[in-house]
Amino acid sequence: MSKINPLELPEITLRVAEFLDEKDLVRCVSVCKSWHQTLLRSIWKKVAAIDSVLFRIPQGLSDDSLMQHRDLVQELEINESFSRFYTTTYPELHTLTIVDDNPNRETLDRKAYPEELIAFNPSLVHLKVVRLGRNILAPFWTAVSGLSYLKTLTLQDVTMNDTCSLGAFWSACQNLERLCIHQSRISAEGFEISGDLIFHKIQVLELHLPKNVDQKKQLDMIRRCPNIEDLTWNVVGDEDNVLDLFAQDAARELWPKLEGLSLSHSITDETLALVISAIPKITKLDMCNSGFGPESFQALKRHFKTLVKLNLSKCPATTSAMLQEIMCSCPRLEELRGDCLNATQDVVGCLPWICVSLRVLEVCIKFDDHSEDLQPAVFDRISLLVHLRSLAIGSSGLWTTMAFQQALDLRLASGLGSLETLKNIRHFGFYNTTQKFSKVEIEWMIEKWKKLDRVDGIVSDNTKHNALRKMLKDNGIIIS
Amino acid sequence: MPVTLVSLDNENYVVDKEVAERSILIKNMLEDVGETDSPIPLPNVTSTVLKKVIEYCEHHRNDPIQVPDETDDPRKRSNDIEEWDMKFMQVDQEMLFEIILAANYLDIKPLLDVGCKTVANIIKGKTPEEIRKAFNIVNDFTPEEEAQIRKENEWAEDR
Repeated sequence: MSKINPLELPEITLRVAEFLDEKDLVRCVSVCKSWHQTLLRSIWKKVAAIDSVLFRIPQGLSDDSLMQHRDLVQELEINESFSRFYTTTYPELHTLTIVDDNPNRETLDRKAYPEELIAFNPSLVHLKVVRLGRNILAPFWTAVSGLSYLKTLTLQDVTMNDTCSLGAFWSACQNLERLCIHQSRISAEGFEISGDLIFHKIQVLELHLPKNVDQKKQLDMIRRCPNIEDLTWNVVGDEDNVLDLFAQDAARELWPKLEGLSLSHSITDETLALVISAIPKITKLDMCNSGFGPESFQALKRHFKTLVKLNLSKCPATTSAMLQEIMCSCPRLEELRGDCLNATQDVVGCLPWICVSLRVLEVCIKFDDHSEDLQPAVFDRISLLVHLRSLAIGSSGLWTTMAFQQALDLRLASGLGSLETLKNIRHFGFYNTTQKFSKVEIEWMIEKWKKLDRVDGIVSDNTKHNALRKMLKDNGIIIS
Repeated sequence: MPVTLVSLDNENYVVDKEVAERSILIKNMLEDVGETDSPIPLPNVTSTVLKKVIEYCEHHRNDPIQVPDETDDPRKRSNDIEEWDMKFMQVDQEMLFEIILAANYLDIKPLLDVGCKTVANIIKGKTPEEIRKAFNIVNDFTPEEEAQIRKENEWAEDR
């Protein structure tokens, strides 16, 4: 039997390529014909053709070779300087980002318009539009409505004023499963959706609209998405008590599939409690920067068994006891972000944390004075959360009160060693805490946490910090 | 319950079921036939390789089953092979290739990954010529073709 060389099997070569960076991949394609054939796809899968006065990325990408390899391109990011490629079909293209911020449609060397690129690529599934013109015109949205496979549309920093384009825009949205509108200016009249347009397929909706867009009209848009599962709604001000109306609608089961909710700031505890009680089942809740407090917490208890992701950071009315109860009661929780967990009162002497599937834990753990002896017990608790990928025990930038309190002391002498169980840790944060790491802790982290790639915080006082920083960097770990 | 595995050269190996089931191929076979005493033939694996594969499965018998994770960026820190696995993989290239083929055939993804990472680590930082030399690959390009390919693709290097 003649021996098979596994490196001649495309499935194996591709798997090896998964562990190589771009530089090595480029070298591999010129090794032999079979590798060239197998690996060329990995190189051309994703192309960013962005050109501006200041820079051109990527360097060395020639027009000829892009055209020659166009049938390998699956994801393309392109701006108007490459408008000469707008009248091209990329047969495998499924994801397109267009950045075309020319205020005037006519420029000297413009070769084609964005709508032509859309029309040439009818197989698009995901489309992202960044700063497209000053005003996206109706022909563009007419072209988009022709994309029968389109599922995702993201608008970022886009201005839409005229009613004509908006009519075309809303009909282009009809087949979408996901619509995200970020930092875009849509005229107030424009958000008026005509007649009986219903977005049956939309499952994910993200609305970050400026204040001038009537919130009742925004609510009207949400009402037209009966099958929504995940809603992110940036309600600025809530002047019309639109969230009370939203809660009433939710209570009437207008959105029976809604499970994920992210409502940003300026929401009172009372309103939030109404919303939380109105939704039948919640798996994801992001209430960062809100008035989440005792009433919302009571309402949330009903969802403890189903919660997977919870963000309560920067909510001044949340307490340590709430976070502790959440950790003792939510068996499916995978992500928890919050402000302060007081180790002395709550963590050590009570029920075990049952949230053992946690992947992300970002809460400031603080100690009262003279309670250093509790540190090992806290380490022991964390050591049971073996699926953790991100552990941040400090406080985020603006939330600086922590700096004056005693944080978890991350030295081996205090018990860091018990966190050896956290084999999946990628990110470790201790922002705004005072740490006294020395070489042994850094060596320990590099040795025990093989997947670690980011550390946030000051590892030690000035004299040592730079040397330790360098040790981390030399091992491919980013420190900020 | 123990399971008997039979290599290409007719050697029998008796291993615990949970060890054998690290191989998805064997796991599925056992599920299909139900409780059985009859030995499982593995006609693609020689005894030297099978012994090595069993050693791996014994050591990793209690590992949690890997769940594919789309958030993982595999192009990061690819050299993170566990210490034991690293030692386990200190074999000659013929054996390394055999292990990869066996892991692929027996469908033992973590072992296949360790094998592929080992190959990737050999490739890292090498020129095409050094890669060919390392794996005995024949260069079937003309110098012109090779230069052309390099030119067409070098944009991706610092993407």
